[in-house]
Amino acid sequence: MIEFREVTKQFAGGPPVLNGITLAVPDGELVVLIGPSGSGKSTLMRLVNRLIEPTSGSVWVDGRNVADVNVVELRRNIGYVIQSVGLFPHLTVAQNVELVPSITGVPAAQRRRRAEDLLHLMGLEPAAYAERYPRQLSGGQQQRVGIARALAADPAYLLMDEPFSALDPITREALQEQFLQLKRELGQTILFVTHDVEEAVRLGDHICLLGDGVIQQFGPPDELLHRPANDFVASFMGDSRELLRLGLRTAADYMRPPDPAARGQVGLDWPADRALSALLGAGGAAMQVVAPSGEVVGSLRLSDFAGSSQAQQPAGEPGA
Amino acid sequence: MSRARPDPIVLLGAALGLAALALPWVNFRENRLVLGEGFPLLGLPAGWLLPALWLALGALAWSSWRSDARTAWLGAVLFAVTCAGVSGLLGGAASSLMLEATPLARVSPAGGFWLSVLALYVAGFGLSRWPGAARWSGLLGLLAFAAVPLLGWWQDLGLAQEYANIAGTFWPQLGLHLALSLTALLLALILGLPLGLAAARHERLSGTVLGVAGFLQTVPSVALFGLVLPVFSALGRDATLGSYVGWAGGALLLGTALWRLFGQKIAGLLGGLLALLGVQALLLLGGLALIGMLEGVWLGGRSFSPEALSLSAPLSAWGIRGIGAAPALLALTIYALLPVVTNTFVGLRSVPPALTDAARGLGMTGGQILRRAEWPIALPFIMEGIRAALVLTFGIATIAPLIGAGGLGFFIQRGVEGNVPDLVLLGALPIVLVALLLSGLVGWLGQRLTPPGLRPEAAAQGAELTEASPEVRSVS
Ligand SMILES: Nc1ncnc2c1ncn2[C@@H]1O[C@H](COP(=O)(O)OP(=O)(O)O)[C@@H](O)[C@H]1O
Ligand SMILES: [Mg+2]
Repeated sequence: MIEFREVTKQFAGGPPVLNGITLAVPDGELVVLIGPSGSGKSTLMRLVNRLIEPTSGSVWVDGRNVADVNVVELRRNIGYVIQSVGLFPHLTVAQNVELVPSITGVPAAQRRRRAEDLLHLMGLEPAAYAERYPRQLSGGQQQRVGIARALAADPAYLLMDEPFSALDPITREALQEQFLQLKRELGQTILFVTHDVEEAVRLGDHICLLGDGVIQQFGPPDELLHRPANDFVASFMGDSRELLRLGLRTAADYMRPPDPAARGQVGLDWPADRALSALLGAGGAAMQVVAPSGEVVGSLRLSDFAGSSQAQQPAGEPGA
Repeated sequence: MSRARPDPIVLLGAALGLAALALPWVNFRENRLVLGEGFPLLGLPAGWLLPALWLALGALAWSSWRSDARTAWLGAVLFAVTCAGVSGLLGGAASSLMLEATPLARVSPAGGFWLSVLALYVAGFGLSRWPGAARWSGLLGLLAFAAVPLLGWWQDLGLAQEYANIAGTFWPQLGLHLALSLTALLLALILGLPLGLAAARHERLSGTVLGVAGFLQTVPSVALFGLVLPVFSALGRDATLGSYVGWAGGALLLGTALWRLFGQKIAGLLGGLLALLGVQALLLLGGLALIGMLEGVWLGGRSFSPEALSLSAPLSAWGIRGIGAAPALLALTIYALLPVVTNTFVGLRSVPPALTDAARGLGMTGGQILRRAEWPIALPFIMEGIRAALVLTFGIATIAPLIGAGGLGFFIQRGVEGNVPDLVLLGALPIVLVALLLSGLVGWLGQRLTPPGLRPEAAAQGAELTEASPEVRSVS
């Protein structure tokens, strides 16, 4: 668990950037820090691995005040990924991934195996990529290496500062997808910074919206979208936030019993926004909902979505 | 295989080579004192050989440019023969003119010869871009050119006669010249690398450090000699070895203590500077002792006496005097400082800030980042600085004999005073050649030390790979 207790940060000669932040990132969860540019997201994140020290208050990792932990030891247990990646240009991809293990004295064969496993996990075949140099890779490939490098020492925590922001939309979406899967497999506790609402909604178990040095709202994505705490949150989450909510659910959440008059089909496990799109395309007529087995399990019509303002648990979210 | 096209550069070389024939090839003088008379090559035996060679090379360059390996081979061989021809016809011209002259007469190369050398340089540059064996044209030509004097076929040239006069001192002076500039480079590195590092680390220091180094560079060398002269003069007279070593060692110890105590704070940095200056003072003394010893062994004269080791010995026994190697060494060190400091600074600044941030965040210490990232990335820049500093000190060391130090400038100075152009050449030519050689050597070393991932071809190769492999396109 990562905990911020009454953290305040003021840089010399400026107003406080963070003002009494108290926040907890539960074990195994991904919490997204979001907020306008300059709202202190990176500053808050860098307090965790002590790249920045707080003016007052304290940060706790694993129940220990980070100020009392040896800084090198602390950082080795916390993976760190940044937007501009920061690979070593003179080292090969494999050498970059092996960087920290090679310093801590992990035997060469063992760390090499680990690097190859990680590259494979990130979708970069070691046979083709291990011996390349960073400048021979695309931006998306570089960031995959950056994530593999952060995971090399098998840290319990990950800090990710806008890791996908510099990528083109298609690459970004592919990486987000892959990252979600990875997260489920590895189970790290993750603090993730972004300024992109869609990305936050897509990846976060919880979202923490920063503004004016304080937490404007903390909660599951659905809550920030559906029940913004104030105008700041409402305007930041955007006018299409009810549409974004649909991405958190599936057709199953909206369907009614089968209707013989229904024409066309949507999948039971389709995201709700995709199902809605199909309905709009079909001209508003009712459609059948089909389970992966091919069995018709329900039907769906446009008016079903109007009921979404009732509090419904998003599918697959842990007790929100 | 491209269609044959004329190579303009080699053609230009050949044209220059032919034009050179219109100028006097050598200058003949009855003795060292009278004015000479110019002789064109075509009036001399076998003189027609050179225009024939140039015409052949020109014809080759006209007919086929980079067309096939066989022509390239032919070009390289023809070029080497032309080089040997220019060199040999110089010696031959001297021999034929000296046949009927007294031993006091002197034959020197004249405008036609020098223009021919330029023509060779141009043609060699052009040929080195031809395929296959022609890439080695430059080296081949240089060897062919140098073979002639090495085989003794320049013996009747004034240059060779002057060399015979001073043969005993030529190589020692070259050695002293090298010792002086290399010691200065070493001193400049010991001071300049940490200064460059400090400037790169501390935004506020960078202006001061680069400014001071830049200012020192602009002080005219003779003025600098003049400024340090009285200081060394007084030091040599009044200070003893014991007091000098005591002060230098004290500065080293005090500076180190301050550095340990205050680290990156201003007091710590000043302490570091003090310690470096202490090291410099001690190394200066060691360098002077070495140079003095070499001078004694090679050129005779006073050699290093055991009494100099006594703590009460005056510093002058170690070569610290107003004139001599000491002021020269200090001035050369100061000149070498700027390229070393600026290139270290620029090299370290070329390290992307994101790299340092990520490395720190992953738990690397400052020392580990310096050793594993900043140093290898900055090294090609630093080598470039070393190259510039070496060429600079080697060149400026030419005037060291003005203040009583050794070096090849000694012959230039004597030649100018005695109106002996051949003697001036004997000093100047080796300086140019050795400077080029050193520059090439350090440049080659710098390329070897550039990590593969930072070499230009890595990027090109990457473009190819990305183009060729299908999985790259599918993932991103
Ligand atoms: N090292 C620093 N020194 C001074 N001011 C800083 C420093 N780092 C960040 N700031 C200031 O703190 C504020 C928040 O920065 P940051 O945390 O990077 O914002 P975000 O990541 O949300 O865009 C900005 O106004 C920035 O100028
Ligand atoms: Mg930021």
